[in-house]
Amino acid sequence: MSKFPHTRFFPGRSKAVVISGPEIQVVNSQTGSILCSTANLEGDLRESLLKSGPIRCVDVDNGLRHVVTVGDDKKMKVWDTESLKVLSERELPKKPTEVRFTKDGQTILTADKFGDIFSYPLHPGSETAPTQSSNRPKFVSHDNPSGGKLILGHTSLLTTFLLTKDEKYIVTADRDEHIRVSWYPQGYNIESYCLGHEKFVSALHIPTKSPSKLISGGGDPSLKLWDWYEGRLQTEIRILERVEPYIKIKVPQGKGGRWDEDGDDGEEGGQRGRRRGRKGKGKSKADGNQSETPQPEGITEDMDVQMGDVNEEQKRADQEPELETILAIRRIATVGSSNSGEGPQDLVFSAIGATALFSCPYPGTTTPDTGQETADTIIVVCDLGHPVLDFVVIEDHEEAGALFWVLLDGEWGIRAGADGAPPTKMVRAVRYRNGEFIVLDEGSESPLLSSLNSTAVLSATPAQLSSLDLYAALSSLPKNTHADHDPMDRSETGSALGDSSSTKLGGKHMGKLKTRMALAAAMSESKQLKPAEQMEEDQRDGKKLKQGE
Amino acid sequence: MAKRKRQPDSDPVKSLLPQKRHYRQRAHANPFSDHNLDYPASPDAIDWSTHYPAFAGTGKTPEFADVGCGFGGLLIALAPLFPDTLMLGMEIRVQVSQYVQDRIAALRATTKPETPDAETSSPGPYQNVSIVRANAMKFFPNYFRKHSLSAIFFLFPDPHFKQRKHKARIISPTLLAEYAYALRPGGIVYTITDVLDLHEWMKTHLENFPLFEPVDEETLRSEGKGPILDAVRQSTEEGKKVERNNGDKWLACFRRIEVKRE
Repeated sequence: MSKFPHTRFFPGRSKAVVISGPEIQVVNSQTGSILCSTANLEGDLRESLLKSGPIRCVDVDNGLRHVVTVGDDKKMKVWDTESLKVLSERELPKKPTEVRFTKDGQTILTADKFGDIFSYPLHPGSETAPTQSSNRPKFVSHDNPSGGKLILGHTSLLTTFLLTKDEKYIVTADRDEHIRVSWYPQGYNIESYCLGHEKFVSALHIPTKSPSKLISGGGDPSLKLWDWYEGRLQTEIRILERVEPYIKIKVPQGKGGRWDEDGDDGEEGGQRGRRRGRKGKGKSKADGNQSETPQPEGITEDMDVQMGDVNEEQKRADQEPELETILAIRRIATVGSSNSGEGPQDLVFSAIGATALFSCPYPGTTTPDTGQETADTIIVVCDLGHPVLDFVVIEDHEEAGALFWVLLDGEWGIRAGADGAPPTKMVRAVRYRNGEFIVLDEGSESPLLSSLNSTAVLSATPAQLSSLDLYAALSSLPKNTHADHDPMDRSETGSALGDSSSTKLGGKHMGKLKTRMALAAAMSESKQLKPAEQMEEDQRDGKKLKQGE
Repeated sequence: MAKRKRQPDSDPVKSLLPQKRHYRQRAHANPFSDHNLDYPASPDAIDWSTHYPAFAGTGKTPEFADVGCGFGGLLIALAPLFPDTLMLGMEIRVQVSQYVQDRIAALRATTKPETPDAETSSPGPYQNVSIVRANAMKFFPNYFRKHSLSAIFFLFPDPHFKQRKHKARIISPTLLAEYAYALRPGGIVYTITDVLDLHEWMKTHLENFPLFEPVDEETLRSEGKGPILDAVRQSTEEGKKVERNNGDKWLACFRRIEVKRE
């Protein structure tokens, strides 16, 4: 029988909350006994829970009194941890990517796929009526079914966000490489941007011990350290080469994100026409497959059958799309204190689909042995054999070092078959001290940890497991564009006129080239039109335009 | 509609300016899709001297941003009026932005300075305008530093008539934050459209946005911004088209203000 891996874990002094698939369990922190579980719900409650699907976003307030969850149905539920009763259920305007309680637990902030941050009070009722039913619906820019307060918005999927230590600023990150620092709650006032990422940003962290700094990671080969108030990049830590070998979850090459369905809509109409014109010519169709978003496998095969002249190599490539390794930082944490007492000592991070936990010295500090600056940062790896879904800092002692609990995809690798395989652990404890990881063995497990690996592991149907889609971000975050194709690059201008192949490009293109060549020629003769002539030219242009319309 | 008359291609040497008919493209682009855009990771990554070679070494950056500049009418009209102010047009459509690029190149090459001894003072005509193909809704802050602009223009933007497309409009409460970030306090946002619905939309959202306050035409004219207003009304292709059809134009301008912490 398949099991749910734990996707999130929130430890507390007396109790802890663990999330597995659609289920929430509240566990006694000392004894490990399960205090309350949604798996015990019955009837309608159970049905509604399963209908919501896997929990995508979740947070727990500071006192572990409330849990907020959102599944695939955009319903934000606030649970009370005593009884796991749903205190409120509110519909969100878009699918969220992150939800968070403020420090006082009275406000819930949501980030969504449309790029907006909304704020909701813990208990509904005090907010105004839904703006949809207001008397001026034609000025409503955002659907807002539950009357949330719009704090800010990007024109891009928000991947994550956090509030600064004093909760006066909100830091938001998006799929289009931006990190924005805005006032909170006056999100309309942008204080700064931390720009420099060249790929999506997927993880943010502000060290408790250095609250003016921000560490960000995503698809870029380096983590970046910022002074977030100034929006100034301070240093980068190259991690790609160390992390890449441990990324075991691969994705089909060029599988685009969900916002790309309409493709390059804005490209010139002529190009679309040409593309259409090419259909039916087997050879160029094969090119098309390579340069455009790959079709789902089945469809590509179908087309291959129709097209006799596709060569064998191409066929094979279509059937088994090449897998790509995508780096996407999942979580960043800092532990210890630097020798000077200012700032943390080490950075610990994980990447989506990677089987290891990674650490490196916090930049700005120097490694004691070599005295080298962080330019050649040493990255320590702790391979746990299964993809790391998340990790939590359980303790962070001056002397004993830090203790992490690492949530693993224990089902990974078993799914393919092999029912008799021994159960893998869903959570491992890892001690980190003086730049070294030690994976703790089973004997030293606390009752809570044993419980997380035994009684708190819930059965899942294969359908439920696959709906978890734990690694979806690896496909949806990277951009669906081709770096080599720049539509504004027109370097062909000089030679293309004489080239017979370019005549296929059509009259428009030729016309442009002619004009450009004429200009170049005129320039080289340093011939200059008088302003008057030029005006004429402009007017003539305008007249032609009129006729064209 | 009358059948389009194709004029025989004129002598290529004579027509040095690009011709619009070679650059036609459908009027809409999806601002939410990825596109194959080439954009700077941050304003620090831009070498403005490739855009404004005559201003290389002055440290100047664009002060006017024409968002969705179309065929570049406003830029071309404003360039001689503010020869020392750098202006940047942003246009998402490949063909149209190429047209503006070619147009500026041709104008720079073929226009004689108005005064013969201009070498000493002015850097030459149209040296102060340039264009990028860009998605301003996504990448505005990639081009402009905080408070670096003194004017932003939204002239005849895509009305996106359908309600479900309203989210694609260039003015929205969340996007206004980005424009306010780039605009220096005191800077002006100019909006104009021939679609009353869109005018009310832009006006309402700008009025409701805490960092903007409405400013009337008279005040702007008294501040010497009359020529800008005239260009906003008349210089763009859309503006001329509306005029030909005797349509209405709705102008609304706003000033960037500052607010205090709550």
